[in-house]
Amino acid sequence: MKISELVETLGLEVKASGNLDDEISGVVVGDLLSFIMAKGQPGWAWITIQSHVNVAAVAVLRDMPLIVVASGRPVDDDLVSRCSQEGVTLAYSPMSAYVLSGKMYALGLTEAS
Amino acid sequence: MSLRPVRVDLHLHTVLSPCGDLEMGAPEVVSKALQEGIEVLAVTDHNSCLNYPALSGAAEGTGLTVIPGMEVQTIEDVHVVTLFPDYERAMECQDWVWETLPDVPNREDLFGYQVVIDKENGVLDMVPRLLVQGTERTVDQLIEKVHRLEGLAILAHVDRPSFSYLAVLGFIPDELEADAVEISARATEDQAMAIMGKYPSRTFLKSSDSHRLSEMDAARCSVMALEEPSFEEVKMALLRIGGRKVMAEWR
Repeated sequence: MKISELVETLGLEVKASGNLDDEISGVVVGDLLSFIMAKGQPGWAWITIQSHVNVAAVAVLRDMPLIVVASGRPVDDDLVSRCSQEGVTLAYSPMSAYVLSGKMYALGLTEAS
Repeated sequence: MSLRPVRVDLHLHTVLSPCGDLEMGAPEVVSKALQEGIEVLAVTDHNSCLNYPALSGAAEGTGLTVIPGMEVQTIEDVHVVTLFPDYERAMECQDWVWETLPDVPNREDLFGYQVVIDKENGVLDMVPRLLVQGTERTVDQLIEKVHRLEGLAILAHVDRPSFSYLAVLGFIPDELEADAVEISARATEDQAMAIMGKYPSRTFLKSSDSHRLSEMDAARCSVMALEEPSFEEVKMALLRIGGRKVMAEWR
């Protein structure tokens, strides 16, 4: 499923735009960056409430093209600009990580770790 | 004056921290520090420095130098040990931290007591707001605030799986202006070496993070080359100025 379809279907607000045609093949959820550095997989979306600027670097490290900041948590400006620089799509949603996960799972994104 | 080895412990909890044992009273902590040969001791309760007067009062005339500080929990859930040149500036930082500390009451049955004491362990107050929670300040904002107050910011117990900069935020960026990185006394030699190897330009130190008297131990803190036991000299050691330094890095 393309990032653009996820954005459309889930009503995500795009804060920084990477390649919206990138395909998403799975999802990881978590707020401990050390955990995501171990579990994130290339081509996956990452749902988190952590919005520290290091989030961008971890997404790049694990080759994850989409970060979704959940629960309406404030998004750090530094994170927005770093994602823009790195070509990672940063999206934002008032929905919780739980609800976003459920919706994405229902859309067929069942691959996870 | 010349430099000499000084034993320094920059991370310690008292009865003010709900997780701190009730034996962590002012005279007890001072006497254990002296027994262990510790000459500089920072008192760093969770998000509060209110027991500094008790500790510094109890240490008066003993030769032990007490530094005011606190272990602040940031919005990212990272613990940072903050130290200040005097109590006034420590309190200014505490006021700033408390502006965004959620107004959740402490439940003593769940978390423990938060006791403000005097130098003889007389109870002055019980802090009603829960101290072990996150403020809404970011790590970067905290470090900036501490530096404006001429204090020191040390990333706490980075080897631990929770509340540590490395566990929560993955890696330490070069531009992060933390003054030092603390590896806990619980880390193995291999863990410590692995972390230190990744950040060769950082100053590392070992602190006890004591919550009970038995954890206060000469082997669980750092030795620094200082001219005298003082905040300013410790600051020079962390910043590696004038020959001052952490002698045994971590261990």
